Amino acid sequence: MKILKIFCLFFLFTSTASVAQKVGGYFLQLNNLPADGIVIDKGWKFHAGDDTAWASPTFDDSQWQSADLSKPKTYFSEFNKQAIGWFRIKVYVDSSTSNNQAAILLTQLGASDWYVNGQRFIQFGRIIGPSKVQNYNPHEKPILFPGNLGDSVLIAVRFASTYLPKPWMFTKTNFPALTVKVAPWMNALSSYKAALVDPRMDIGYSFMSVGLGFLFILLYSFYPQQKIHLLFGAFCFFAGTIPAISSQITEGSVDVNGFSWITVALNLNGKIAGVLILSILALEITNKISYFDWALIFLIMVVDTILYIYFDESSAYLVFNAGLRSLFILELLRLCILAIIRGNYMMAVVAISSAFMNTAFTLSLYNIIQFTPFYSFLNNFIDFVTISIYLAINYARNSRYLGLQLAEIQKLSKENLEKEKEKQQILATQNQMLEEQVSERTYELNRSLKELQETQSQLIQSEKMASLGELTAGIAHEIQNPLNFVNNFSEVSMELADELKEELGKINIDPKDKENLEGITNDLIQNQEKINHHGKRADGIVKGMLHHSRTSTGQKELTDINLLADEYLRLSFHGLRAKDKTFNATLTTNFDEQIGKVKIVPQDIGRVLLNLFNNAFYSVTEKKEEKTHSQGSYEPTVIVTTRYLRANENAATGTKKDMVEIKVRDNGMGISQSVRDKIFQPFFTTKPTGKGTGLGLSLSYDIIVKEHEGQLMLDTRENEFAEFIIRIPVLP
Amino acid sequence: MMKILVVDDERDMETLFEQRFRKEIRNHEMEFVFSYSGEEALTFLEGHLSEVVLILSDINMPGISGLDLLQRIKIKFKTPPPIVMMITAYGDADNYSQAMRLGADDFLTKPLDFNLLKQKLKNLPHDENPGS
Repeated sequence: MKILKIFCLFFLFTSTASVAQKVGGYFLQLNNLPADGIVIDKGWKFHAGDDTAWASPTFDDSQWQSADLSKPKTYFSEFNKQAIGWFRIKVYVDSSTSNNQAAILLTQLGASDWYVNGQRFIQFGRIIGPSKVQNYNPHEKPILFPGNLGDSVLIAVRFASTYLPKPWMFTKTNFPALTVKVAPWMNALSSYKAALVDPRMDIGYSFMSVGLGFLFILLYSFYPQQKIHLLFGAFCFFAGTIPAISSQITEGSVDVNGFSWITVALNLNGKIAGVLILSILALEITNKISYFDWALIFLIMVVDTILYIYFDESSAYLVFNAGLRSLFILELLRLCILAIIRGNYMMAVVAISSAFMNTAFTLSLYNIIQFTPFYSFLNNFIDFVTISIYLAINYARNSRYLGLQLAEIQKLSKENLEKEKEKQQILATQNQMLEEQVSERTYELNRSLKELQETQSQLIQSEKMASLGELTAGIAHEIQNPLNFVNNFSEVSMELADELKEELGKINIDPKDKENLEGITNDLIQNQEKINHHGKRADGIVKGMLHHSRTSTGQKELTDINLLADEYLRLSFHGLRAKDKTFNATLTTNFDEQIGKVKIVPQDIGRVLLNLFNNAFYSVTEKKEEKTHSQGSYEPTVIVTTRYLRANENAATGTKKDMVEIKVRDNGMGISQSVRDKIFQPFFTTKPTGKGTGLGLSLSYDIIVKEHEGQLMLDTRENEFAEFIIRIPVLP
Repeated sequence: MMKILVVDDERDMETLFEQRFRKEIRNHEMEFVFSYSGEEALTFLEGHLSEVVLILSDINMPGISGLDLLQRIKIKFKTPPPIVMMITAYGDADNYSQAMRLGADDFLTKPLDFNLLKQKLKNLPHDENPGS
């Protein structure tokens, strides 16, 4: 295991097998070599420079510097002056056992020419010129020890490296430029063969790891939200390059400087891998890289590296490094515990494996345990596998979670859509309802408006009528004054004219003249009569108007209908009798005893009845006068009938209320068709001028229909009869 | 002889009365005095109360109304209390009741029926009038 050997060289101080040493050289018992061989490190002499004379056994090298191959400090400073130098050593061989073969095993960083007893023996690599060297490292490939050399052998090694390092370049000086061993041939050969490693595995592993690293970094570039992809990708990349790099040393041939660079690179690589693991752990477990972690990273990557490059041999550095490692391990353990608490077992595994590996490393520094690079490899492998699994699980979980979320969202979206539709429907129906309500209300409002308007016009009409009534009353009263004079003066004038006529009769004048004078006087009298007559007419009209416009109290009282009718019948009859002694008529009453008292305005209904009775008596009187001129007996009759009508009887009433009916019938002149139409109009009368105002029926109509909401109807046949029918609703 | 005071703002009333009562006036049965306003009437009564037996007054007059006059007469002129009749075109219930309340002895409406008036005058209680 070549890797094994290299690491051991760096970090272990193994004890060398003790060999017998003679002063100035080694004594080799070729047939009695230990199985592992003898390391020939002490007793060399070294001189920088290049001279083939130095190969000769006779050359005096007592002035040369003593060099211990295992302690590079003893020759490096010299060597670094020219990058080429010679090593010389005298070896004593027990040739009695020359049958047993021995092998020389060499590892070197550079190229060398070997001279045994002045003769060129073998060369490893090619030294072309100063700093022009083809490096070759045989890695302990067995070379047959030259035989038949005699007792003492002088080995001279011409050793050269690729280039002269500049003073400011760091050169690690704690590893040997070359190591020489002598061992039994068979052992050497078998162990060399065993150590051969199939590089393909390493290459394969490197390719895979680096390739994976690139893949993850590419993934990160597509989705930068997941830092772990970057970190893990970088980890795979760096971890993957470690075998490739280290194989340069273990399999390949490098020179001293190259070796320095490579060790530093490996150191850095290892640290980078470690730091990346720390970052991954911190991010996944605590979701952040704490200040402490950053400080740790800084110390590891920057401080430790610088110290490692320049001061790695000092014990102070070792203490610092050990302390740093301890901190690192503690941090890993802390993260591990946190991971377990939070149930992140994958990360806990990663943390614990790293912690374990680093602990082993640290302990091995102090020789407490043996460290094998296999541990490192195992750790990286564990990290690699665990993190991959972790990422895979995470990815699957995320995908599943996202899938669920998506399903949830779709469901919600569908529900939302349905709710929206529902809402729309409800809104539509509500809208419709509202529309209907609105139109209803509008209709009602319109109706109310119309009613109000009607009422308003009625009110205005009433107002007008009231004021008109007042006006007419006022006018009527005012007219009474001049009328007074007209009537009275005309009467007086008539009297005076009569007296004049008397006086005239006493005077003696020419009869013709007397006739004349008398004629004039008669005319005077006639004129006054006419004036008086028309004055009285005016008076009658005014009085009629006053009656008409007089506002009644309008108070409805329970009144006995039959009594009222009877009273006003008598009133009318006797009133007319008082005026005209010849007046007479038959009065018939048919009163319905069921009627009793009804709510009416007694004065107004009384006036109506009076009017109807007066008209009836007038009509029969007229007929009587006609009849006296012709033949036949005529009995003027006026009949009054009262009746109580129930609501369900007599659909002809047209209303749903109980009613009281009063009929006034006379067998007088009757009423012709043309007169019928105008009979209720104000100022319409068939009586000769001066006899009637024409207001009676109009007033009666108003009282019955407007004041009592009743009906006033006429049934008649010309020349035969007339019947006025009053119907008044019974108020509760 | 009856002395009658007629109170009316219409001057034609004087002519009318003189013509209507020409017989009575010629026979010295009645004597008419005319005032054209309530104030005039009161002034006259101040001086000639004992002579006036009857007062005929209109209601609607400029100045103090007939009813006002009636009231004052009834309060002021108590010995002897003259008879007061109202003659007016406003024959409505309101005026009538008010006049009666204030102590009017009668109430006549225009146009004046002089026959009716003469009838009423005949039926008046006869006092011992110093002038007859």
